[in-house]
Amino acid sequence: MDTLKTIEKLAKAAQNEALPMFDVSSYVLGQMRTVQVQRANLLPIEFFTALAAVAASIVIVLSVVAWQTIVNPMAQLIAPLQESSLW
Amino acid sequence: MSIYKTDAASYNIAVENLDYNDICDSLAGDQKAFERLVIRYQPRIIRLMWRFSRDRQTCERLVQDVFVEAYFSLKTYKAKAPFEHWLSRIASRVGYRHFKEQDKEKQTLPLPDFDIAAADSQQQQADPEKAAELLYWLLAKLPATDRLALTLVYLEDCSIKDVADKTGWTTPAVKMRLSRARKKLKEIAEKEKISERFEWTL
Repeated sequence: MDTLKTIEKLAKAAQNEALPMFDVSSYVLGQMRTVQVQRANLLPIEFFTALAAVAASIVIVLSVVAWQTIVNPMAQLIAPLQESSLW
Repeated sequence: MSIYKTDAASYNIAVENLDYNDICDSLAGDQKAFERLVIRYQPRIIRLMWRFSRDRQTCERLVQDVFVEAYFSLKTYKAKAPFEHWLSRIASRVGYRHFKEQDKEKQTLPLPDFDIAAADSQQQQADPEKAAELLYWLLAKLPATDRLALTLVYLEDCSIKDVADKTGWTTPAVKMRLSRARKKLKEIAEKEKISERFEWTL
Protein backbone atom coordinates (compact mmCIF):
# COMPACT_ATOMS: atom_id res chain seq x y z
CA MET A 1 0.00 0.00 0.00
CA ASP A 2 1.13 3.52 -0.70
CA THR A 3 2.97 4.98 2.28
CA LEU A 4 1.19 8.33 2.03
CA LYS A 5 -2.21 6.57 2.05
CA THR A 6 -1.12 4.77 5.22
CA ILE A 7 -0.15 8.08 6.78
CA GLU A 8 -3.47 9.62 5.78
CA LYS A 9 -5.29 6.75 7.46
CA LEU A 10 -3.14 7.22 10.53
CA ALA A 11 -4.08 10.90 10.50
CA LYS A 12 -7.81 10.13 10.18
CA ALA A 13 -7.56 7.81 13.18
CA ALA A 14 -5.46 10.34 15.11
CA GLN A 15 -8.11 13.03 14.69
CA ASN A 16 -10.43 11.02 16.93
CA GLU A 17 -8.11 10.74 19.89
CA ALA A 18 -9.26 11.82 23.33
CA LEU A 19 -7.93 15.23 24.27
CA PRO A 20 -6.79 16.39 27.69
CA MET A 21 -8.97 18.95 29.45
CA PHE A 22 -7.71 21.71 31.69
CA ASP A 23 -8.53 25.27 32.57
CA VAL A 24 -6.02 28.03 31.90
CA SER A 25 -8.30 30.99 32.65
CA SER A 26 -7.00 31.60 36.20
CA TYR A 27 -3.40 31.47 35.01
CA VAL A 28 -4.12 33.85 32.11
CA LEU A 29 -5.88 36.32 34.42
CA GLY A 30 -2.95 36.09 36.84
CA GLN A 31 -0.49 36.82 34.04
CA MET A 32 -2.57 39.78 32.88
CA ARG A 33 -2.58 41.26 36.40
CA THR A 34 1.15 40.62 36.88
CA VAL A 35 2.03 42.38 33.64
CA GLN A 36 -0.24 45.31 34.50
CA VAL A 37 1.41 45.64 37.95
CA GLN A 38 4.83 45.46 36.30
CA ARG A 39 3.77 48.19 33.89
CA ALA A 40 2.57 50.33 36.82
CA ASN A 41 5.93 49.77 38.57
CA LEU A 42 7.68 50.83 35.43
CA LEU A 43 6.14 54.33 35.54
CA PRO A 44 8.56 55.85 38.11
CA ILE A 45 11.46 54.28 36.19
CA GLU A 46 10.17 55.84 32.98
CA PHE A 47 9.81 59.21 34.74
CA PHE A 48 13.39 59.18 36.07
CA THR A 49 14.70 57.97 32.72
CA ALA A 50 13.03 60.94 31.02
CA LEU A 51 14.39 63.31 33.69
CA ALA A 52 17.92 61.93 33.24
CA ALA A 53 17.61 62.28 29.45
CA VAL A 54 16.57 65.94 29.78
CA ALA A 55 19.46 66.64 32.19
CA ALA A 56 21.90 64.91 29.85
CA SER A 57 20.76 66.99 26.87
CA ILE A 58 21.21 70.24 28.83
CA VAL A 59 24.75 69.18 29.82
CA ILE A 60 25.52 68.29 26.17
CA VAL A 61 24.31 71.71 24.92
CA LEU A 62 26.37 73.54 27.56
CA SER A 63 29.46 71.45 26.86
CA VAL A 64 29.24 72.10 23.10
CA VAL A 65 29.12 75.85 23.78
CA ALA A 66 32.01 75.56 26.24
CA TRP A 67 34.03 73.51 23.75
CA GLN A 68 33.58 76.15 21.08
CA THR A 69 34.82 78.96 23.35
CA ILE A 70 37.66 77.10 25.01
CA VAL A 71 41.16 78.54 24.49
CA ASN A 72 44.41 76.62 24.70
CA PRO A 73 46.19 77.89 27.86
CA MET A 74 49.59 77.40 26.15
CA ALA A 75 48.61 79.91 23.49
CA GLN A 76 49.34 82.69 25.99
CA LEU A 77 53.02 81.68 26.15
CA ILE A 78 53.68 81.85 22.44
CA ALA A 79 51.45 84.82 21.74
CA PRO A 80 53.41 87.97 20.83
CA LEU A 81 53.92 90.27 23.77
CA GLN A 82 51.60 93.14 24.01
CA GLU A 83 53.27 96.36 23.06
CA SER A 84 53.12 98.70 25.91
CA SER A 85 54.12 102.28 25.87
CA LEU A 86 57.05 103.01 28.11
CA TRP A 87 56.05 106.53 28.69
CA MET B 1 -26.23 40.87 10.35
CA SER B 2 -22.58 39.97 10.81
CA ILE B 3 -20.45 42.38 12.82
CA TYR B 4 -17.33 41.40 10.91
CA LYS B 5 -15.95 43.75 8.29
CA THR B 6 -15.90 41.25 5.43
CA ASP B 7 -18.35 39.51 3.17
CA ALA B 8 -17.47 36.17 4.71
CA ALA B 9 -20.51 34.28 5.89
CA SER B 10 -21.05 34.64 9.60
CA TYR B 11 -20.63 31.35 11.41
CA ASN B 12 -22.86 32.03 14.36
CA ILE B 13 -24.44 35.41 14.95
CA ALA B 14 -25.00 34.78 18.65
CA VAL B 15 -21.38 33.80 19.23
CA GLU B 16 -20.18 36.72 17.11
CA ASN B 17 -22.14 39.18 19.21
CA LEU B 18 -20.99 37.58 22.45
CA ASP B 19 -17.39 37.72 21.24
CA TYR B 20 -17.69 41.28 20.05
CA ASN B 21 -19.13 42.49 23.36
CA ASP B 22 -16.50 40.61 25.34
CA ILE B 23 -13.69 41.96 23.14
CA CYS B 24 -14.94 45.54 23.57
CA ASP B 25 -15.26 45.06 27.33
CA SER B 26 -11.77 43.51 27.51
CA LEU B 27 -10.32 46.46 25.65
CA ALA B 28 -12.05 48.74 28.13
CA GLY B 29 -10.18 46.91 30.92
CA ASP B 30 -12.76 44.34 32.01
CA GLN B 31 -10.67 41.25 32.75
CA LYS B 32 -13.75 39.13 33.45
CA ALA B 33 -14.80 39.66 29.83
CA PHE B 34 -11.51 38.24 28.62
CA GLU B 35 -11.92 35.34 31.05
CA ARG B 36 -15.22 34.56 29.33
CA LEU B 37 -13.43 34.49 25.96
CA VAL B 38 -10.78 32.16 27.39
CA ILE B 39 -13.41 29.79 28.77
CA ARG B 40 -15.33 29.87 25.47
CA TYR B 41 -12.34 29.12 23.25
CA GLN B 42 -9.98 27.07 25.39
CA PRO B 43 -11.34 23.65 24.32
CA ARG B 44 -10.60 24.51 20.67
CA ILE B 45 -7.17 25.92 21.48
CA ILE B 46 -6.31 22.91 23.67
CA ARG B 47 -7.26 20.68 20.74
CA LEU B 48 -5.02 22.63 18.38
CA MET B 49 -2.07 22.89 20.77
CA TRP B 50 -2.27 19.16 21.55
CA ARG B 51 -1.22 18.69 17.92
CA PHE B 52 1.92 20.69 18.65
CA SER B 53 2.86 19.00 21.89
CA ARG B 54 1.66 15.72 23.29
CA ASP B 55 3.12 16.46 26.68
CA ARG B 56 0.31 17.70 28.93
CA GLN B 57 2.42 20.28 30.78
CA THR B 58 3.92 21.69 27.58
CA CYS B 59 0.50 21.78 25.97
CA GLU B 60 -0.89 23.67 28.95
CA ARG B 61 1.97 26.17 28.73
CA LEU B 62 1.34 26.66 25.01
CA VAL B 63 -2.38 27.25 25.56
CA GLN B 64 -1.56 29.80 28.26
CA ASP B 65 0.90 31.52 25.91
CA VAL B 66 -1.78 31.73 23.20
CA PHE B 67 -4.28 33.49 25.46
CA VAL B 68 -1.72 35.79 27.08
CA GLU B 69 -0.46 36.78 23.62
CA ALA B 70 -4.04 37.25 22.44
CA TYR B 71 -4.82 39.52 25.38
CA PHE B 72 -1.87 41.79 24.73
CA SER B 73 -2.53 41.91 20.97
CA LEU B 74 -6.28 42.41 21.33
CA LYS B 75 -5.91 46.01 20.18
CA THR B 76 -4.72 44.73 16.79
CA TYR B 77 -7.86 42.63 16.25
CA LYS B 78 -9.77 44.37 13.48
CA ALA B 79 -12.80 42.06 13.37
CA LYS B 80 -12.07 41.19 9.72
CA ALA B 81 -12.72 37.55 10.56
CA PRO B 82 -14.31 35.66 13.45
CA PHE B 83 -12.36 35.85 16.69
CA GLU B 84 -11.78 32.10 16.57
CA HIS B 85 -9.83 32.42 13.29
CA TRP B 86 -7.71 35.22 14.72
CA LEU B 87 -7.05 33.12 17.82
CA SER B 88 -6.05 30.06 15.79
CA ARG B 89 -3.58 32.18 13.84
CA ILE B 90 -1.92 33.14 17.13
CA ALA B 91 -2.06 29.49 18.22
CA SER B 92 -0.36 28.35 15.01
CA ARG B 93 2.36 30.94 15.53
CA VAL B 94 2.90 29.78 19.13
CA GLY B 95 2.96 26.16 17.97
CA TYR B 96 5.43 26.94 15.21
CA ARG B 97 7.69 28.68 17.73
CA HIS B 98 7.53 25.52 19.85
CA PHE B 99 8.53 23.38 16.85
CA LYS B 100 11.47 25.70 16.18
CA GLU B 101 12.58 25.43 19.83
CA GLN B 102 12.43 21.65 19.50
CA ASP B 103 14.48 21.89 16.30
CA LYS B 104 17.10 24.01 18.07
CA GLU B 105 17.31 21.64 21.01
CA LYS B 106 17.39 18.73 18.54
CA GLN B 107 14.97 16.81 20.73
CA THR B 108 14.54 13.22 19.67
CA LEU B 109 11.34 11.56 20.72
CA PRO B 110 11.30 7.90 21.65
CA LEU B 111 9.83 5.60 19.03
CA PRO B 112 6.20 4.78 19.94
CA ASP B 113 5.41 1.25 20.99
CA PHE B 114 4.62 -0.34 17.63
CA ASP B 115 3.64 -3.69 19.10
CA ILE B 116 0.70 -2.29 21.03
CA ALA B 117 -0.54 -0.44 17.97
CA ALA B 118 -0.14 -3.52 15.81
CA ALA B 119 -2.23 -5.50 18.29
CA ASP B 120 -5.27 -3.74 16.87
CA SER B 121 -4.68 -5.28 13.47
CA GLN B 122 -7.60 -7.72 13.93
CA GLN B 123 -9.97 -4.80 14.37
CA GLN B 124 -8.81 -3.28 11.06
CA GLN B 125 -8.63 0.12 12.72
CA ALA B 126 -5.99 2.08 14.51
CA ASP B 127 -6.12 3.05 18.12
CA PRO B 128 -6.49 6.87 17.85
CA GLU B 129 -3.96 7.56 20.65
CA LYS B 130 -1.37 5.24 19.16
CA ALA B 131 -1.98 6.56 15.65
CA ALA B 132 -1.58 10.14 16.86
CA GLU B 133 1.56 9.24 18.78
CA LEU B 134 3.09 7.56 15.76
CA LEU B 135 2.15 10.39 13.41
CA TYR B 136 3.54 12.93 15.85
CA TRP B 137 6.76 10.94 15.99
CA LEU B 138 7.00 10.84 12.19
CA LEU B 139 6.23 14.56 11.79
CA ALA B 140 8.83 15.42 14.44
CA LYS B 141 11.48 14.23 12.01
CA LEU B 142 10.64 17.07 9.62
CA PRO B 143 11.87 20.68 9.78
CA ALA B 144 9.57 23.11 11.66
CA THR B 145 7.91 24.67 8.57
CA ASP B 146 7.12 21.32 6.91
CA ARG B 147 5.95 19.96 10.21
CA LEU B 148 3.61 22.90 10.76
CA ALA B 149 2.03 22.55 7.31
CA LEU B 150 1.50 18.79 7.63
CA THR B 151 0.31 19.01 11.24
CA LEU B 152 -2.44 21.41 10.18
CA VAL B 153 -3.41 19.32 7.16
CA TYR B 154 -3.26 15.85 8.71
CA LEU B 155 -4.34 16.48 12.28
CA GLU B 156 -6.57 19.53 11.96
CA ASP B 157 -7.99 18.59 8.56
CA CYS B 158 -7.15 22.05 7.20
CA SER B 159 -7.45 22.88 3.51
CA ILE B 160 -4.64 24.69 1.66
CA LYS B 161 -6.53 27.97 2.13
CA ASP B 162 -6.92 27.31 5.87
CA VAL B 163 -3.18 26.64 6.19
CA ALA B 164 -2.44 29.86 4.30
CA ASP B 165 -4.80 31.78 6.62
CA LYS B 166 -3.31 30.31 9.76
CA THR B 167 0.33 30.68 8.77
CA GLY B 168 0.24 33.85 6.71
CA TRP B 169 1.93 32.06 3.79
CA THR B 170 0.60 32.46 0.24
CA THR B 171 -1.48 29.64 -1.27
CA PRO B 172 1.19 28.65 -3.85
CA ALA B 173 3.79 28.62 -1.06
CA VAL B 174 1.60 26.30 1.01
CA LYS B 175 1.08 23.97 -1.99
CA MET B 176 4.79 23.81 -2.66
CA ARG B 177 5.67 23.31 0.99
CA LEU B 178 3.08 20.56 1.40
CA SER B 179 4.31 18.74 -1.67
CA ARG B 180 7.93 18.83 -0.47
CA ALA B 181 6.95 17.92 3.09
CA ARG B 182 4.91 14.92 1.89
CA LYS B 183 7.86 13.72 -0.15
CA LYS B 184 10.17 13.96 2.86
CA LEU B 185 7.62 12.27 5.11
CA LYS B 186 7.19 9.45 2.62
CA GLU B 187 10.93 8.83 2.61
CA ILE B 188 11.04 8.76 6.42
CA ALA B 189 8.00 6.47 6.64
CA GLU B 190 9.46 4.09 4.06
CA LYS B 191 12.74 4.00 5.95
CA GLU B 192 10.83 3.10 9.12
CA LYS B 193 8.69 0.57 7.18
CA ILE B 194 5.46 2.07 8.49
CA SER B 195 3.16 0.42 5.91
CA GLU B 196 4.54 -3.03 6.67
CA ARG B 197 4.06 -2.60 10.38
CA PHE B 198 0.41 -1.60 10.13
CA GLU B 199 -1.76 -4.17 8.46
CA TRP B 200 -4.93 -2.48 9.72
CA THR B 201 -4.49 0.21 7.13
CA LEU B 202 -5.25 -2.20 4.29
